[in-house]
Amino acid sequence: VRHPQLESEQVAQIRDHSTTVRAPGPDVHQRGKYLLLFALAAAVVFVLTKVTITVLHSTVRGLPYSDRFETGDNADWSAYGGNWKIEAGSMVNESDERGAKLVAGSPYWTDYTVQADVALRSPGEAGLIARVSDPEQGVDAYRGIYVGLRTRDQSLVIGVADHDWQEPWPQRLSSPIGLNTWYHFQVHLQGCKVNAIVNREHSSEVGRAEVTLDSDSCPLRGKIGLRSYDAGGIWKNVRVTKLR
Amino acid sequence: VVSSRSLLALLLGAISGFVIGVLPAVAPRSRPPEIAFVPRTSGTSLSEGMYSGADRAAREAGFRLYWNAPTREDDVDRQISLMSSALANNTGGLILGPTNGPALITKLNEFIARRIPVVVVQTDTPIPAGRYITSVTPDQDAVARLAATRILRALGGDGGQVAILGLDRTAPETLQRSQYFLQYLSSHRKVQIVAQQRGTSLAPEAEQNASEVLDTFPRLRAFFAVSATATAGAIQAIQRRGLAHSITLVGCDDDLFLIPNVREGSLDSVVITDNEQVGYLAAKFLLDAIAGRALPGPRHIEPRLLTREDLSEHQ
Repeated sequence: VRHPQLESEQVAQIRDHSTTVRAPGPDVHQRGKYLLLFALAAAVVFVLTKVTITVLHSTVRGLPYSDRFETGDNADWSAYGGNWKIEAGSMVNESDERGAKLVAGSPYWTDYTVQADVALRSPGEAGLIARVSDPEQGVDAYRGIYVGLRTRDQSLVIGVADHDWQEPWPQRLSSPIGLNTWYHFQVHLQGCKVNAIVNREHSSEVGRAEVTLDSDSCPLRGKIGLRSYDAGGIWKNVRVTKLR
Repeated sequence: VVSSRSLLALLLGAISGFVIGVLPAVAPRSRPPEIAFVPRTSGTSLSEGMYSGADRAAREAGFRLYWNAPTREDDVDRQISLMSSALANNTGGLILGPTNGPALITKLNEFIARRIPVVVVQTDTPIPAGRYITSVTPDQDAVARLAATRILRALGGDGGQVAILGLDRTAPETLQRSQYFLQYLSSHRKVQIVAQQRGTSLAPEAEQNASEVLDTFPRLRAFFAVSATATAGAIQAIQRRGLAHSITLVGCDDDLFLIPNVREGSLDSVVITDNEQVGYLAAKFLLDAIAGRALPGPRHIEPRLLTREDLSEHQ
């Protein structure tokens, strides 16, 4: 008995006296094979894509990171305002633009220590930014944490920018800020806790501040950067390490 | 040998696997509707106060506030660029502190042509207020009245020489303040306005301008500085000459550094406006207009004079 909807060449028929058993023909086998190949390729590429994304979004990818500005190559860095150039192993911002930024690193870095030597070229502010996202040219036009030295009130400043500015309180320094003098910054970021230590070159600690930011306003991941406000600045020996 | 159909199955499978894998990482996240606020500059007490009020109003209405400004008050090109970005990002409305009103008229007309409401703050709107544009500004007449009253009180019955600092055609509110101030002092014969000095957005230049007046008029008794920058420049010029106790300086607008100056006495007083209220009202008007209600006419906010005594009371 033939099935009325199937062509004779598509169905192998085994007949006996009373029954007819249909077996899959060669095209059905082929379709099954194509489906299997499709599913296999989809699964393999899906897993590879997921692994690649996980690696790219890793919180430690690219760490430890350092830049000694020994060559003229600054391809890692993106400028948002300012007038930046590499000079004798340091990065110089010649502009006194308010809120000039130079940003590098991975947007997925979370808990890390960023260190650098920083010098102010004129009265104003200069320092480091961390956990930076959504940067633009503008005074506080980024989301992230700023740690810097401010000559106006001779203080170490820690604050949060989210296209506005929140400053818990400035920490008065133990000695006046010298212009064109190197200060070594160490900024540790763990969760919403920010710990900053500043040492004057060839001298002891001049400032230390620890701030626990509001969990609502605390940026949790992002790049690092150099920032100055109303003053030119010089930065060298930038280093980022995963916080143990 | 792999048939072309097998290759096609592999290829389609690979594409599907890639798309399913990458989609969650690249899919655009839904964002609330947005309004933009572009003041003259940011990072000052004045702008931070306005931001705070506008942000509050935007959140209450379920909107996101895009906030950015030039790093210099006189950077009109950057302000035009930020306004263009807001248009390109399909902003629902714009709050603008015009850096140089006439230079922004073309761009403002683009907003109006697209029926995007605009609220101007810090100074009057450079084009007439109408269905799609209005302003929320300090009452400039009251600013001048408060300053004139304070200076007259400081001069006493003797009168004396007074100079106005900071007149800037790109900031029309400075001209209005000066004009009203002159009217208030015109009936006081013993008060002589000896100079109306030009303004600038740069503090060192403002200091130079104030210094020129001090050098030219050694018997000067008082300054009325009609902008925050002019006030900051006058403080520097007076301090460098050691004249803090002989010249009364009344300033305008709440900049980052002026209130500590009032507290320590290098600035007699400063006329300020509730900037948070300005920002809140501006955003509220804008959001109402987006919701289909008509923009109200220009709104003037009453300023107040902040003196050292007020600060002592607040402490």
